Amino acid sequence: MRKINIQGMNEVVFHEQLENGLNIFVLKKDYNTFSHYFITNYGALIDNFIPINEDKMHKFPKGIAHFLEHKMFEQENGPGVMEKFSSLGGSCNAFTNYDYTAYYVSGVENVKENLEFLIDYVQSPYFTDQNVEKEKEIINQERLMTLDNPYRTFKMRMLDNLFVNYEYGKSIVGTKKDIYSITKEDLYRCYNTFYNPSNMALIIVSNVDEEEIIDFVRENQRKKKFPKQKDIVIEKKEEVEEVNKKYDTFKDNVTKPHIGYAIKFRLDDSKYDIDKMGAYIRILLISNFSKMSNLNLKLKKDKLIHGNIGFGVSKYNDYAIINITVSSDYEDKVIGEIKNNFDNLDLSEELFDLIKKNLISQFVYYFTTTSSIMGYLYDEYYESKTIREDVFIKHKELNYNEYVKYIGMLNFNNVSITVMNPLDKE
Amino acid sequence: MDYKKYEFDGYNAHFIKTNRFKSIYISFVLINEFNKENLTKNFILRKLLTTSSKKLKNEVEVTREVSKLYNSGLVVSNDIIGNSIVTTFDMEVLEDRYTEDGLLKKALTYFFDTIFYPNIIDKKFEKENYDLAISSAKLYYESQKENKNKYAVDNAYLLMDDEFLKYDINGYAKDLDNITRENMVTYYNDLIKSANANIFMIGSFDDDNVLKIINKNLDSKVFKNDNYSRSITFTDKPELKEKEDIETNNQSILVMLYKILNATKREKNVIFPIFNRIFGGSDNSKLFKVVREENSLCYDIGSTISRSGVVRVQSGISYENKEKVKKLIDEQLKKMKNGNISDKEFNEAIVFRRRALKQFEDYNDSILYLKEGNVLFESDDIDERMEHLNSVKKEEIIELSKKIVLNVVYMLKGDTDEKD
Repeated sequence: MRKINIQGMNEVVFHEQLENGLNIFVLKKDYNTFSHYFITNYGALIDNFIPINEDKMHKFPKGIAHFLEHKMFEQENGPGVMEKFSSLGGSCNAFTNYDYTAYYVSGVENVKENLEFLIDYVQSPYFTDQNVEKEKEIINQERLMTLDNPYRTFKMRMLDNLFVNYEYGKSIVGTKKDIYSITKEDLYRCYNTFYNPSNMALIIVSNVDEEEIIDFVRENQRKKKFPKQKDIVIEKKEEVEEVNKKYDTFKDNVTKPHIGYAIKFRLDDSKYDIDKMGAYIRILLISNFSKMSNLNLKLKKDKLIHGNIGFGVSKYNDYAIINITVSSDYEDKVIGEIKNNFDNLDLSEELFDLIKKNLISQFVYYFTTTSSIMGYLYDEYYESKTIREDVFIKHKELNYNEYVKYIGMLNFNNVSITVMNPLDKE
Repeated sequence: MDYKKYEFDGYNAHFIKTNRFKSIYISFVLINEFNKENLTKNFILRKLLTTSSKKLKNEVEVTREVSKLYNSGLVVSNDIIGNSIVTTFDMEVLEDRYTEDGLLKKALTYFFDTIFYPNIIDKKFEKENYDLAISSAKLYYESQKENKNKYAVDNAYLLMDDEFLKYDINGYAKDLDNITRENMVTYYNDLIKSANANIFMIGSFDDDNVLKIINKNLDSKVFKNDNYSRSITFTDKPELKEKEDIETNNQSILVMLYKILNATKREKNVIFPIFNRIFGGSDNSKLFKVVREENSLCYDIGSTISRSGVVRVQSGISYENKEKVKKLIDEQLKKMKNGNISDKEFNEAIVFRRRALKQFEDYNDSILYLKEGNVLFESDDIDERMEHLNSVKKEEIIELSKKIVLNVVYMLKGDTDEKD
């Protein structure tokens, strides 16, 4: 068992890898609420791979990872998953994103029983033609629900316009045709390939002693047999530095036009520390585009934008995307203002110090409730497939000179613009 | 956790002392008599107070000040309870030991400056910030249709029998014409002077030091006016109303609103949440099991309950299944009225409720919210709620089910022009 000291935070996460390859991360906290996450390194981007015990690449329908997530809630014997958790006082759910599928349960009583059932149900798939068929319209209704959210469509469209080969921006749920083409055999092939413990992790936040809970999981896993798994062969895609579309416009059910101004760049860990670069970009964006920036107030006073400027930076594999979003009737003028702001960035030291203070205080808030701790640990796993020791300390070490140097290394000219107009706009 | 109440001439202070959290949560609550005409003014006032003050001239200065205080931002909200309008000013501050000495003192100063020293010049709210607040409100009203779920719920509430259930807490676009920089000042002054004022705090802090700051800021500014009513009475013979509207949407949204008639305090406070858990308040509820799992008619379906006693059922479905879904929902309620509640359903609902209450104890804002309800609106505190759970009987859920009456069926029909 390894202790991961989150440096500077006085928090310790215990890590153990079991013989079957399952990674377990445990943080003990004396809150009433516990939370367990069971994660497989398998998400919506993975649809072309060599299934376990086969020797050829196979392309599966889009949305299959998400379909599988739905079907894991079927049980061959006994009560359904929801019912069983309900009897244990647990509240469960699951989600699928581009890179992972996670199953989780939280509650206040029966910490171990809830954990045991979480592991057991995810490790006992039960797919039949009938229960797979039954799920198709449910998932189709979920698909329609997401299509009715124009802001989600806008976000996906922006991603689609940025990436040439990566499939960020494509639907996680799949099309209606994809959903209706999935079979129980497809599901078993994907399940057997990606739900092997060696491709999974458990994150546990509870008031039970770390060693005790790890032993409990070890005992549970000892009773089960899993095939030894070789590395999974997944189609590898190389992304290019250019954006997919420099400009794109579409219409959706909104009352005002929305403009997305996105910048794409490849991350380069030979030149800089990627975590620090992320933090410095956040400071830069808050200084120059948030409510504390002069630009936001100016654009509102001049009636060039509706509401405030939206902004963010996200990592997509080996790329980072900066996005600026605004609602505006003056597309050209506002795009000009954003571009001009990137050409004349405010790198004030006073704002740097102020914002750094906030980033640091955010870490204190992460460790105040079970759900925020789990959110932090999950984000860490998402980012690095482990919990890192030095993320907080790196934030403490941020300094103004390095900020100016790091920002100087970025090119803000690789831009993709997406415009979402109201349906009735001519 | 140790609760203390300090009574002063113009207000009461309620402190919950605990070391359990790393931050201190502050809630300043003003209760005024409800007046529909003031809803829009409240909405504008929330914007005016949080975007500038006498000291901080615009949003840029406010945001930078909040940053200096380690993100201790102030949030203002409104709620209608009975014949009262409640205005709550909330702020969360990290304890000094995690930040710097004197942070709480500085944050409280910012908190009270924001509330009591607004950006008023010559008896008018300052023009530039006022104009921005009005633009922001207009944008809000214009974009109401974008969130189809909220739009459907708002439209459904407009059909209810009882006038007080139709009000939109954020007011109405048409009222903006009657609002001026001058009459907003009059409104602000009236709001403060005619309110019943209470301050609530939870966390680890020194009572005397904090009370000094509070007294300095609240003394002679607020009063203990008690001219508000807390009770809610529904029209006792609701008339069923049905309506459909069409929107550019892939999915259709069904909203059904029920209300409880003649419920006792115990029924509303103790039995109602347990009823809801069994009916539609979870992924293991009757509605979820029957409409989604057994009939594959939707992805999401659920029921929620409001403090005023309304049960709202909502689901995204295909239009052609409307009658089938309606029938299934009705059948589930009928089953509960006829006593069709298994021991398992009943016991799990009790376990769930107990869990929810235990989870409240992990959040400082939830503890404070329950304390506010207990002190100001006679609702039970956590311990009382836990205690009551032990005596709940299945028959009480059945009796409550019988008092629940359907008032509105609303459908926001999608135009079925699927955009895949």
